[in-house]
Amino acid sequence: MTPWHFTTWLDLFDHWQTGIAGFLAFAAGFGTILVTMIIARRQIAASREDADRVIAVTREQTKVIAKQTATTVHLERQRAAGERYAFHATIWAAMERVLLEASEAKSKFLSAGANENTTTSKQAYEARRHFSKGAFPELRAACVRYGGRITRDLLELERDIDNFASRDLGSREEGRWGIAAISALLHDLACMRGS
Amino acid sequence: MGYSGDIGVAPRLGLHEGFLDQLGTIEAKATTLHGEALTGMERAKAVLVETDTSEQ
Repeated sequence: MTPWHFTTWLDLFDHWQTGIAGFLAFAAGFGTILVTMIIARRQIAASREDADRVIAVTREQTKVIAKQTATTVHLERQRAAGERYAFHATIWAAMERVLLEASEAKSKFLSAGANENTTTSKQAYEARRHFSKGAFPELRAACVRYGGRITRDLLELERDIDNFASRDLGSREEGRWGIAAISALLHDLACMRGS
Repeated sequence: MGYSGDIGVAPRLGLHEGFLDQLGTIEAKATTLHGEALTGMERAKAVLVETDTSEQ
């Protein structure tokens, strides 16, 4: 068999057509892979950009929300502190008044010339009723929210003031003599007679 | 004497017994509350100052 040698282009293509076809098929496959890779890379890059954009927007939103939350917490803290200050200032003012009224009640009582002989007096009655308990109802209501330990102390103080005020000998029925009042009166008359 | 001279009108007489002791208890409790209120005011004021500063 004689080895092939070039005669015409047509003969060349005819003789090497399998090899040429294989080469073209390989080139086509390679080209397809290359194009697919390029397209895939572009799609990945585009997806990454989209994802980065979404992440950036989400981060911004998160920052805004965090800032809003911080502002809300700050305002709430400020409001709570303001209300707490007002509550304690009211207690402080109410106690100033109680202490002042206690001092006045004492003066009033001592002006009655209380001694061992007298057991009752009108001055003592007035002194016992001298406490106005200013702002006590408001404080009682506010204690539910802010009071804590102060609630117990305030309620005890109010009970003491009420007990203090209730220790009189007037009749239960307004305008009528009570047995206790008569006994006190007789006792005081006896003291006067004795002195 | 402290009672009215009108017949049939009840005098309103306060007891002397235990007056000063009870008043002392009231004063002590009011003083305690007064102190607690002052402390509470100072604490609340500190928070207010702190929040004002952080706001700036």
